[in-house]
Amino acid sequence: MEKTTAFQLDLMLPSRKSEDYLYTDVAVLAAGIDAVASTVCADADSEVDFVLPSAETDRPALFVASQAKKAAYYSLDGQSADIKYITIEDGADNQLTAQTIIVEVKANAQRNVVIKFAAQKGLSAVDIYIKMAAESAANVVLWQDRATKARIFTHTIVDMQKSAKLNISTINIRAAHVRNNLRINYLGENAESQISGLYIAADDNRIDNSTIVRHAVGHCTCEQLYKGVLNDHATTAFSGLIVVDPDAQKTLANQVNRSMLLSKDARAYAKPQLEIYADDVRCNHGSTTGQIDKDQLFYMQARGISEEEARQMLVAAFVCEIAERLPIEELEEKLVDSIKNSL
Amino acid sequence: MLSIKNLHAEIDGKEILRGINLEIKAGETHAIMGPNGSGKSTLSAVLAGNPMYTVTQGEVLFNGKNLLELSPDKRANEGLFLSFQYPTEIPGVSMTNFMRAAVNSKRKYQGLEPLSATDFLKLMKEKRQLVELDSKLASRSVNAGFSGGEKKRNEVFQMAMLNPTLRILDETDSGLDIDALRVVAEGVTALKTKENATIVITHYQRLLDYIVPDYIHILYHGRIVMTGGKELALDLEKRGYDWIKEQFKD
Repeated sequence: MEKTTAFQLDLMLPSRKSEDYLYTDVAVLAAGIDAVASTVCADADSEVDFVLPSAETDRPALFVASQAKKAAYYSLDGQSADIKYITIEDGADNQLTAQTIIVEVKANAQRNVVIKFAAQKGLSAVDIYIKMAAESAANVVLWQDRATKARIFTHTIVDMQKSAKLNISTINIRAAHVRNNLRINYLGENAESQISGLYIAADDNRIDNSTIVRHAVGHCTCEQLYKGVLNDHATTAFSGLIVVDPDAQKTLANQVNRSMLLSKDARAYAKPQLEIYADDVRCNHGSTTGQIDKDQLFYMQARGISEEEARQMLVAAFVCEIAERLPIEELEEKLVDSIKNSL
Repeated sequence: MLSIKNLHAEIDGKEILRGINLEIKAGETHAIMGPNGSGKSTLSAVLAGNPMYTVTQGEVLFNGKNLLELSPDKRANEGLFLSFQYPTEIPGVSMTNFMRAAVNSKRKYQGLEPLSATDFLKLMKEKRQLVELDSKLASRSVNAGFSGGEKKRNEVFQMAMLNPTLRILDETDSGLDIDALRVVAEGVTALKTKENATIVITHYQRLLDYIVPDYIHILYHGRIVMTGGKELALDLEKRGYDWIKEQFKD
């Protein structure tokens, strides 16, 4: 770890040599930050004391030390199609604004949660702890749509008990610099999760997604699809680690990452990883990075569709798979609309 | 309608068309036949404006306009239609959105207002019945999950929707069984008028029983080496292409 003197509190940042942060330069993410503050969402059910578990070393020291001491606590019970919106508000320029959100999904509940990132000032660090009780189901969306100056660090940990079902999507459309960590822990058998991610990056945007799915017990299913479109000088990274413990038999894990490059200078990095210690499992991973298919483009032009319109239709078709996976219909429509207007 | 003069074209530095001359008038049907590698598909790709090919010499006039100067979409808007030998699959783009974009692009080019949603859906229904494509067509992705026969019928459906003046059918019969061939050919014939013209590119004589040509041109090594009436096809059927290769070997 290298020390940086740029930061007043003299905290340590991981260097590029740290494998996990190979693609996210935290020094760049935290550039110009000279103050730290923490906040608690105003609409929380209650405010609780919070102490970061000592085993939690999976993030840069910067975000450990600035960890908020009070968390916004939300309890989700019963079955409802209503959406619980949690909004991450603006902090201040040059300030790291940290907040912690705890969402407890009670047994047999079926609920929807959307965490909206509206912050544009400074750097927002948001810790999200989702505890899913046995037999609970939750649809979770981390939604950031064209907060173009936004610098965001999110660290989401989902603990899933027996037979819990999770559908979680991370949507980032055009932000300055984003790093999302998603950690899924299977603590009870027969739990399932569908994980989706969308990153649309242009100009000098940087959007990095790191997922770690830990199968501590067997008979759990996890299906991941992260897709992205890059233009101009944008850079994105997807790092997906699947860990299957020795006793986690009958694990089914699938991970797919697809990036579409619209310019010569865009860079999409992908690092799929499997660490499998059990012997009766099925785990796949696949990653592709490519451009608009020339044959498809010509076929559309041969039917009279202009090159520009054809490109837009092909990009929208590529990205819509993620929109279709959103379990909340009004968001699906919103996303399709946003996609059209952001490229 | 179409005037091709001394057309030369190459791909990856290799010359495929070595001086094509062809005149096509409205109402006519021309067949282009020839052995594999003679340049048949290249000719259709060059006329449609496929950027993989480079025209090195010659001129092509379509309705008096310089075709080679137009982008592929403008050529289609002008009334040129290519039925692909291998239609491209576009998962995620529905037939409805695809055809609506195509139909309205042409209408815009012609100075017309886009079709209303109701009129457009009516048009889709009317035209798909011509080639026995069912109602699921509208929501399917373009050619994705289509059988070989369905893909070729889909090409004729699109032709019916766009109402082109120059119809280029590139090996439309390849991969089709007799029944599919009949449906496709009947569709093409039903759309024939005195105002449009057809270029049928085929390797086999079979299709020409259904789409009867006024002229048959034999393409060999990038040039038209022989032109005749529809009887020429029966000749080729009997003798194969060997006598052509013998007579015109370079």
